[in-house]
Amino acid sequence: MGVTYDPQLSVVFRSLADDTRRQILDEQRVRDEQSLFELCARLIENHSISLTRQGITRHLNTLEEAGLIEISWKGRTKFHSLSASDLEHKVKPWLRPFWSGESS
Amino acid sequence: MKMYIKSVFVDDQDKALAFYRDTLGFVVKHDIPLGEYRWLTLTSPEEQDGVELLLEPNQHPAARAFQEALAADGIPCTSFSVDDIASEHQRLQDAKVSFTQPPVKAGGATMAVFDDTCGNLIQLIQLD
Repeated sequence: MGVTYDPQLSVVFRSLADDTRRQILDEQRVRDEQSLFELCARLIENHSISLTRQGITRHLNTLEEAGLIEISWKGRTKFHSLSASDLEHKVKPWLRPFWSGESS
Repeated sequence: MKMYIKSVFVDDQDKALAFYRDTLGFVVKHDIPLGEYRWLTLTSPEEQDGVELLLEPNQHPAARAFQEALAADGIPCTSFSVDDIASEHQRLQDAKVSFTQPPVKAGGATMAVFDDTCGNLIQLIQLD
């Protein structure tokens, strides 16, 4: 019951409620730790996404606020990685009863 | 009118010469003292009369700001083409060159991005 009222759960679902952001996460699953340049190249090539780099950056910021993407620096370059912690500890427990038939 | 120079800012011309000549395999065309710095250009061994690569000092604050902003986003400042990117990627990695991105198919070509140790990311590209 506690998980249902966690405000972070809404933040996570809102960030997933966008095609481009889900496609970003799909590409991060194919190869983790990507620079903005690499991610944009993959999105154009695999999903025909024609947003500007600034547009993609805005989506990455939303995903980072939702705890789904994490930033690290190697040398002078910023890398984006998948961070599945909230999915694992908040979203999955909330969704699981719908499949398993457990009552909450 | 013809293409003449392609310019890359570098933080140290000696270090840049070592990298571009000894690691990447370009040949020196001009190395002319000019006060504090030099006019330093290289060409590809495959095109010695072709476009010259100018390694310019990055002393202007705008040049350094430009380099930092591009590097942060993983954006290369220029591009060199090869016939076989897989083997060039391997050769450069064996020479301890650091890649921010392995070869990726994009827009009808395959491209990778590496660090030139002088403030820049450089794209390596194999055109299909």
